[in-house]
Amino acid sequence: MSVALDTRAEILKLARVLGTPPEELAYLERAAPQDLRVLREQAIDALFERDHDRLRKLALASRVLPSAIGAKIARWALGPLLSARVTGLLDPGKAVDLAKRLPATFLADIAIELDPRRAREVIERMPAAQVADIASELAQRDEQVTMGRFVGYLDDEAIGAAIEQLDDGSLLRVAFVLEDKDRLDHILGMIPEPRMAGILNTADRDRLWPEALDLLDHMSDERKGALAEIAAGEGLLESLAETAYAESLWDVVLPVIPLMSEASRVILAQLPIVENTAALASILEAAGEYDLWAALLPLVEHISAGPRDQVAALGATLPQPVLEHIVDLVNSGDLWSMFVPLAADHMDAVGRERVAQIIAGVNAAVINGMADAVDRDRLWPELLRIAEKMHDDQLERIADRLLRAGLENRLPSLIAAAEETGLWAQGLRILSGLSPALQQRLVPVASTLSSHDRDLVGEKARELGLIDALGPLSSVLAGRS
Amino acid sequence: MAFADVSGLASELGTEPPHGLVEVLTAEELRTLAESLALAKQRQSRALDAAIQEALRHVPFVLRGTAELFLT
Repeated sequence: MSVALDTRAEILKLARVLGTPPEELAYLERAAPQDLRVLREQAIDALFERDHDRLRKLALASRVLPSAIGAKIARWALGPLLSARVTGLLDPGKAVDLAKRLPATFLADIAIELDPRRAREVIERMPAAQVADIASELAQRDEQVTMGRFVGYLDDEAIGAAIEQLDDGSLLRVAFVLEDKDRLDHILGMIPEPRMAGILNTADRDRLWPEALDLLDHMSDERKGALAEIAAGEGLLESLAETAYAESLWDVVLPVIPLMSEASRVILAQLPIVENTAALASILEAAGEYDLWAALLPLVEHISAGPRDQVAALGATLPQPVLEHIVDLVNSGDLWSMFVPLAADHMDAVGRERVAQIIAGVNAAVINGMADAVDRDRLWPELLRIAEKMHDDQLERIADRLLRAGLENRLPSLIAAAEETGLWAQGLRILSGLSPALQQRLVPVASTLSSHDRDLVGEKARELGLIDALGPLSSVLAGRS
Repeated sequence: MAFADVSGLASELGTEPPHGLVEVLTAEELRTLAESLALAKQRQSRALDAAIQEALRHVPFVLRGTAELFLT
């Protein structure tokens, strides 16, 4: 949930109550939205209490008059403010009967001044058609704050009728200032998909993305994913992302990434804004602040080489616990095919060393996951580049774990990777770091290697002075018998 | 931030303002908020006075005196 958006909406509502321009309440932007809501309700109560006795007398007087006369007095004498204050003190049946005799324009005037908490029963009993007429009138006056206060008190029929009367921009603005946002997802379910596309295009055209992002923030996961697909289909992701960057709303956008289709994620990853270093930094900052790494990581594999370098550079500077957390997420999400090349090919030596130290310290389950992925996706060359930065004891521990994870089946791939990359020292250090017992387990597999591979390994081991360190393996790999 | 004096705002609200709000606002901002509410109350009362006078003009002349006593 975006606190900044909720605070902004609350300031709009408080400004209405106090009869003050919202700009004059800008100093309240530091306040929590829930505190502003309490303050607003306290202010409404204080306004009501100030003139309560006079209002009660007016309500008593209205009870004895026929509705036709009461409606006339309400319209031509009391006016909207007084009528609104009295409404909650009237018998609800009488109030609805009076409302039937009043035009929508006047009822809209009353609605602007009415405190829905004090007139709940009256609002609930209003016919849907009349609610729709009032909503239409309020929309013409840009009274979204007023409509937002009432939605929580209306049933589905009345809300559906009102939605049909509102244009897309009004809908967005009402949703933004909605009093009871827990119902927002349910209400959005009443809007057909073609209209959602129109709403998003309106957000783009009328610069209402903050309102649309607030809408997104209050949707169920299912609806968020659907809306993101519509945005991608309408070509609106760049505009949406630019707003998220400008308004610091990545915490709203990033959680939607896992809910998007692969095709939409590719579109998102290729947006021009992803080429912007400052924007990328803000994305990573939000991911760190709100722990949204799990949502962000699936996007990384789709971004192009330039931005990927930047992601790697920024990632390499993250605090150690954060990097460790990311490695855990990479493992649980089986994202090694993204992460290993990112670290090996896009991080500088310092970054690779940090990743190497983390991998050297992870538990066996993570190593197993990594080994599976590395073998499956032929990432041994990249892994060797990371292993280059490990200390001997760390490499030995990793080698031991790799063996327990079935290194004997991966020996041919490891040798091929060493040949491809020229990183023989790292590849052979994995083998030489094993205990003699574990090296012995590899002997049968080494025997099945081609004579070319065996000769090559033996030659490189001799060059590097590691032949003796290969223990029982040396006899097979180096042609010793 | 140290707690500023909230008596002015509490007096206008008729209750203590939310703790979290007091914590983030300066004394000057709390005063401004109290003044805004006081002005809103005054505007409402003036509107009520005017509306009641207007209502009385719609009451038949013979009942107006009684109605005036009742409403004011």
